[in-house]
Amino acid sequence: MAHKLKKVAILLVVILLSNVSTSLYAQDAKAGKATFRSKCGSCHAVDLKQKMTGPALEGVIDRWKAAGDFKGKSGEQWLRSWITNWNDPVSAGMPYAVKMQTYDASAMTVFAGQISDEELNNILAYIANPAAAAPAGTSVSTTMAAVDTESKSSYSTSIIVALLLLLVLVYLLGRASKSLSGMSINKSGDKQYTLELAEEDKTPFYLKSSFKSGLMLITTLLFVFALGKSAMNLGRQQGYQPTQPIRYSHELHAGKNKIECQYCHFTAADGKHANIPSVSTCMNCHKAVQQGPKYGKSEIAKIYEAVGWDPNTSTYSKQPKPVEWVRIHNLPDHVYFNHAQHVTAGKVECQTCHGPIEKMEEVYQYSPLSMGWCINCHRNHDVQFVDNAYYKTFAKFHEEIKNGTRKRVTVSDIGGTECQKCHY
Amino acid sequence: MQEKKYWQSFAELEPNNSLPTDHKEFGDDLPVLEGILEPITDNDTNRRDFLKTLGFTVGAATIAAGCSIPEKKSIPYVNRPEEIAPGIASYYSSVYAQGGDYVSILVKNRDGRPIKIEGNPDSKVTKGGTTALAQASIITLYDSNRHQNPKKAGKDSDWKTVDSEIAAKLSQINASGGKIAIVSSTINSPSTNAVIAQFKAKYSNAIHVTHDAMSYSGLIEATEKSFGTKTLPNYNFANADVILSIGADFLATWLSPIEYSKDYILRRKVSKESTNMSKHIHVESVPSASSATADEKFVVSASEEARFVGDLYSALTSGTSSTIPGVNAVKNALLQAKDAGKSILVVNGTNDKNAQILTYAVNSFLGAIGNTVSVGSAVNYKKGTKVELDAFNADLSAGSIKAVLFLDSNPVYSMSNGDKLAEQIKKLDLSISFSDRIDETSSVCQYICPTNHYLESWNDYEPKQGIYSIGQPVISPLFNTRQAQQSLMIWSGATGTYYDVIRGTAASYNNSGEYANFDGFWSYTIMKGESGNSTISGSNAFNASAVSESIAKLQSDYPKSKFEIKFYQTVHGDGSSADNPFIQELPDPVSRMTWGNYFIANPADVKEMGADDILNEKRYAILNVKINGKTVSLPVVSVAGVAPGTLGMKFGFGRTKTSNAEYQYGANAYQFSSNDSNIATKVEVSNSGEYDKLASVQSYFTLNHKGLGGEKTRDLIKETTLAEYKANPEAGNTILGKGRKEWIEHHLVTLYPKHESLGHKWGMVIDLNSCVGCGACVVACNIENNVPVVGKNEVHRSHDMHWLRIDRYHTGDVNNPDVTFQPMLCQHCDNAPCENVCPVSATNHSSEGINQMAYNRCIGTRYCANNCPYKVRRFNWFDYQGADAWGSGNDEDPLNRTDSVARMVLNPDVVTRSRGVIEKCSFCTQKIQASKLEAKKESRELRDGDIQTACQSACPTNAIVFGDVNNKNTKAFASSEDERAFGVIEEIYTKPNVTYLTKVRNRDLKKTV
Repeated sequence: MAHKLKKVAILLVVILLSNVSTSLYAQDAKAGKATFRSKCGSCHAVDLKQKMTGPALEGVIDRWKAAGDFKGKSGEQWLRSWITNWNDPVSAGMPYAVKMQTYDASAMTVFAGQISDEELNNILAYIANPAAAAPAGTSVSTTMAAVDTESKSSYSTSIIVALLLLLVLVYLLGRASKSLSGMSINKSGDKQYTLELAEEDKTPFYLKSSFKSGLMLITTLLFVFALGKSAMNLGRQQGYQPTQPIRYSHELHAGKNKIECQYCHFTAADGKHANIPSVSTCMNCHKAVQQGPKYGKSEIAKIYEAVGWDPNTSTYSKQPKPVEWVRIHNLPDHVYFNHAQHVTAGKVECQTCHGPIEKMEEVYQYSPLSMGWCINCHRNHDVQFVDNAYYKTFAKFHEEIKNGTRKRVTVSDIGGTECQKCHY
Repeated sequence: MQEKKYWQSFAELEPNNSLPTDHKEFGDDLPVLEGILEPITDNDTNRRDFLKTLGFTVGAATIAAGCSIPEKKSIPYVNRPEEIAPGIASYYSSVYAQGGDYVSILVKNRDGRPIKIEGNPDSKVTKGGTTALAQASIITLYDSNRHQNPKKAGKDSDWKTVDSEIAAKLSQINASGGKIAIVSSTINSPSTNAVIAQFKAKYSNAIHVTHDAMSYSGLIEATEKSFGTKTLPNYNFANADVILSIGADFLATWLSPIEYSKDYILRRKVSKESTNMSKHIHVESVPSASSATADEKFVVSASEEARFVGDLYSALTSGTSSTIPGVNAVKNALLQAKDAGKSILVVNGTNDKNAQILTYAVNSFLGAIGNTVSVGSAVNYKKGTKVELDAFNADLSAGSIKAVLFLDSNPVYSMSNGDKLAEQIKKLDLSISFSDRIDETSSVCQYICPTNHYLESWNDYEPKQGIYSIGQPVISPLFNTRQAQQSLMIWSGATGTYYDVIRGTAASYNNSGEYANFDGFWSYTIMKGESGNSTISGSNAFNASAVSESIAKLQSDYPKSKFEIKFYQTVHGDGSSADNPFIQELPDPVSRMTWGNYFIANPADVKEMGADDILNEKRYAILNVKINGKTVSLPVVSVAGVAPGTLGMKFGFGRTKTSNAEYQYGANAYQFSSNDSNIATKVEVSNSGEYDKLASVQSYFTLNHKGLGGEKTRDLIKETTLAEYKANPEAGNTILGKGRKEWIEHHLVTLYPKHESLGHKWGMVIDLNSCVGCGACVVACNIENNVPVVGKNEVHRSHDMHWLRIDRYHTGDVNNPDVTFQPMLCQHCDNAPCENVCPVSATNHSSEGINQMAYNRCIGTRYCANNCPYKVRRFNWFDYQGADAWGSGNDEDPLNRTDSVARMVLNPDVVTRSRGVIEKCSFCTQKIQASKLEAKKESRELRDGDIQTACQSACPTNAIVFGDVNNKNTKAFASSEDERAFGVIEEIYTKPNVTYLTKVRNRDLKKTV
C-alpha cells in the first residue's frame, strides 16, 4: 500500500517537473507579463483594461505611434524613453508626453537603471499581445498530500495491530484466570465442586465467566483508549473550515494570480504573527479589479463597504468598518509560536504547515498543530547552519561539519525540542 | 572558623530556638479545599451525598467536553498605522513625573498597548535607571477604578455641563473679589506653568500654591538664606571621595535617588584596575536602604539625628565635644579627609531649615561648595515651601479663599491638618479636584474633573535648568477624561490645545543652534526624550550669617526624650501610589514588611515594653502612641539598627479613601508630622495588650543556614574590606576557611552527568557592592513576567509569588548592624536539586543552562520547591490570570486580572500559568528568545548586551549583568571569573549559573560578632 503511494508520489513529482520545464520555453510576452506584474502592476491594471493610479495600457503603443515622430524619434521610441524616465520626453517637449504628464497628480516612478532593455522589450511585447501570455496550465504540488495519506494509512495499521495485540492479551488473560480459578479450587480440596465445574464446561462459551470478564476487559480497554484519544484531541481543530465574512479565495489569489503570500501577510517575515491584511491592502488591487470571476461584484463590494470606498465617486467617503474574520489557526495559550522564526530564520515554506493554500477555495486548518507534529518537524528539519551567521556560536558543530563527522544540524540538535523553546 | 554571622531574623540569633513553622515552606494544609472537602469528609455525609457530588461532577465534565470550541475573531485594522505590526513591540520615550519626581522612560508598546516601562538610557538626569514607583505606574493606567467621567457632587456628569458651571462660578467668584487657589504638587513643566499663568491672567484673584507631600521646604529655604537663591542645590556624588549622609536616604527615596545612585555607584564599583572607592559614612536613627551600603554607620536617636549637624559644625570649627555618639569620630574622619585634599559631600535628610543651613555651613567649611554641592542653576524637583503653605492656610481660615482647584495633589491626606482642611473645603463656594482616581481630597470636592493618565497625555518638563524633555502619550485616553491643563485652558477661555502650548514652549528651548529648524528639535527631543544640557552656574558664595542662630534653634527644638519618633519614607513613596498593588506588596528593603505601615523599634525597647516575644514574626503587639496630643495605634516591629528610644513610622500608608479597602492598611503619618520636621519628641508610648497580624516576608523562603552538613554554617554573604581587597582580590571569598577556587578544585565531585552547552550558556552576575535594595528589579520582574500580587492575607500565609526577592542580612551588633542586600532568584543550577525530584519532568535543564519550567506539565507536587536550597520556587495557589476554564476561583486578587481593562497590561509573550503550578524565574527567556531571533533575522552573532533581563534593565546601579558565559568576550563571563565571584552555597555543588561578587566595604576595621 505504502509502496504504491510512493509510486504515485514519484509520478506526480515527474508531472510537476515537466510542467516547470515547459514553462522554461516561455515567449517574451509571458516574461513581459511577469515583469509587468512586479514592476508596473501596482499602478497599472495587469489586464490592461482598467484604469488604476495609472492609465489602462491597452493600445498604448498605438497611441504613442499615432502621436507621430518628434525630433527624429518615432512615437514608440519616445514611449520607451517615457517608461525608463518619463522626465526625458517631457523635458524634450514631446507633445504627447507633456499631455500625459497631467494625467494624474501622482507622478510615475522613474525606472532608469531598474529595468533592462530586455525587460522593456518583453513588457512591450506583452502589451502588444496580452493573449500570448495566457497561462499554460497550473502547476500542482501534490507531493505533500501523498506523503500525508501514507502517514495516515500507517496510523490505521498501527491501530489494527494494537487491537490484535489486545485480543491476544485477552485470550492469555482468560487462560490465566481459568487456571488460577482451577488452582484455587484444587487447593480448597472441594472435588465435588470441581467436578461440577467440569460438567458445566459444556455450557455455551458466551456464558462462561472467562468470556464475560474478557469481554468486559476489552470493552474497558477500548473505552479508555477512545477516551484518551478524544481527550488528546480536545481543542484540536484539524480540518477546521469556518465560513468567512467575505468569500475570499486563496485559490484565485495565491494559486491562479500567483500573488506572493507575503504581499498580504507581510509581518510573517518580521514578527510573531502573520498579519491578516488590512482592507486597505486589498484596495491596492481592488481599486481597479472591481469584478471577480466567480461572485462578480458582490464579494468585492464587501471590501468597499469595509474600507468606506464609494466605487461610483472613487472616494473614501463612507464610514469604514473592519472585517471580522474568523480565526482558523488557534494555538493554546501555553505555546509560543513565532512566524519570523520559521519563515525568516528557518526558511520554512508557508505550505509546510498551512498545506496547499494556493489550492484552497476556502482555507481550512491543514495541520493538526499538535505537539507531536511540531516536535517531529523540529527533529527532522535542518537549521540554516551555514548560511546564517548567527549559528557561528555553535563552534563544535562547525568543526564537526569540517571534519566530515557531521552532515546536518537539525533544530533539535541546537536545543529546539526543549520545553522552554516553545512553552514560555 | 566563622568570623561573622549573618542573620535575617532575630530567631537565628537565639542559641536554641525552636520556632514552630518558620522553616516549613508549606507548613499549612491545603486551605483552598476547605468547604469543598467538607461535605465529603463530614461524618454526616451519606451515600446519597456522595452520589450527588459524583453525578454533578461527571455531568459537568460531560457538558464541558461536549462544548465546541468557541469561534475566535481576528479583526485587522482598516488602515494599518505604519509603525504598528501585530506582535512586534515598539518603544516610545516619555516621562514619569509624579509630584516633581522625574524619571525619563521608554514605554514598551505592544499592539497599541503600553505594557512595560524601561529607563531611558539617553537621559542626562536618570541615565536609564528606574524606580519601583515608576515601574509600577504602568498598571495605574489600566485601572477601571479610575474616574471614567467628570463628576459633579459625586455623580457622573458630562464635560459640557461641568465646564459651563465651573466657568460661570469662577467668573462670579473672581468678580466678587474671592481668591481662587490652585493647589498643586511641584510643577516642573514650563507649559503647565504657562497655562497656570494664563489662568491667573483671566482670573486676577487666582493664586498658585505648591504643596509637596514630601516637603523639601527646609532645604529650599536654607538655600535661599545661605545663597540668596530659592532653589534646590545640585549634588555631585561622583566627585565625592567622602560622603556623609545624616538621615538622607539618597539612594532610594531622597530628592532624586536615581540620579544620585547613578553617580554614587561610579565610585562604589571596585575591580583590580579601579580601587578608587568613595567612603560613605551614614548617621541615622532608623535604618534605610542607603545606610546598608555605607562603610561606617552611626546610630543616633531621632532628636540626636536632628541636632547632629549642629554639634558636628561646632566640633569641626571650634573643637567642641559632643554628647551625641559618632560626632567625634565623624569629625576626625572629615578633618583627615579635608587635610588630605579629598572632595567631601555632606547631605542631610531633614526638612528642618536650621539643620540644612548648618549642613551648608559644614559643606562650606569642608570646601564642598562649588565642588560637590553647587547652587545657582535651578533644580526643579521640589518647589513647595512652608511659607507659601502657611499663607494658604491663613487665607483659608480667614475665608478670603472662595474656590480651590487641586492639581496632582491630595492635601486632605498629606497635610498635618488634613481633617480641618476637609471641613474648610466643604464650605467653599467652589472646589474642584483633577484627580483621576478616588482620594481623600476629591471626595470632599464639588467637582471632579479627572485628568488623563500620564501615559495618555502630552507634557513637558524641565527637571533641571537647561534640560528640556517631552512626555508623549502612548495610548489614547481609555476613559472620558481630559488633561487638567486642557481643562484650565478651557476655563481660561483659551482656544487651541495644550499640545499647541507645549509646541510654543518648546520653541523657546531650541536655542542651541544644533537643529536646522524647530521641527528637527521637536522630533529629536521626542525621540530621545530629552534635549539640552544641565549647566551648573551661578554664585556659590555661602552666607554664614544665620549659622549661630540655627545652632541654638536646633538645641531648643529637639530636646532628648525617652521616646522619639522619626517619620520616614521608603521605596513605597509618599502615599499617592498606595493604591498600586505592586507597591503595596513590595517588601520594605529593611523591615521586609508588605501591605501597610507599623512602628519600627529597637528590639530591646520592644522587649522592655512587654510588646511580644520578638521571635514570633507572625503577630505583633499594638502600641498606643501619643504624638503632639494625637494618639495612633499601630503594631510594633523589632528592627535591628533602630536607635534605642526611637520609633520609626513610615509615610504613605493609612489612606482612607481608595477604590479598595486593601489599600488602607496602617496609619497616616502626615497627620502627626508638621511640615517643618520629620521628627517628633516627647512621645508617650504604651502597650495596648492587643495584637495584629502583619504581612512579613522575613521568616519564610529563606536559605537555611544549617544546611546539609548539619551544624556547618554556610556563607551566604561574602564580604571584605577595601584594604584587604587591595592586598588580595580573593579576600573574604572563602569556603569553610579556604580560598574559594582552591576549595572547589579539591572538594567537588558528582555522580550526575555534566550538562553540555554547545551554543550559549546564560549566566548572571550580581554585584553585592552595587545593590542598594531599592526594589525596582522586583517590580520590573513582576510586570515583565505577569507575576501576580496576592494581597495581605496571602502574604501573611507565606504565599507571596515574587520570582525575585531581595534578601536582607544583618551582621554584627544588633543596635548597629551591617546590612547587606542579596537579590535572590532562581540560580539556574547546573546540578539543580529541583530537577531530580520532579515526578513528571516538568522542570529540567536546557542546553543553554536554563533551569526551565513547563507549566502546563507541572502537576503541583511541590517537591521541587521543597528541594530547592535557595527557596525561589513559588506555588500558585490561585488562578491569578484567569487562565483556567472553570472561572478564577479566586476572590482575593488585588490586581483583578479577570477584569478586561486590567488584563491589558499582561505581557503577551509570557506563558499563562494556571492554578496549582510552581512558578519561578526563567531568566526572562522571552527576552532571550526575542534577541536570538533578531540576530537570526539579521544573520549575525548575538552581541553582548543584546539581552537585558527585566531586573537588569530596571536596576539604577547596574548591579546585575547578564550574558553568554560561553563567550569569552562578554562582561558576564569576565565578571563570573573574577576573584570576587562566588556562588551561594556552591559547596553543596549545585553549580549555580548566578554568581555574586563579594561585598567590599571601605573601612579599616572588620566588624565581628
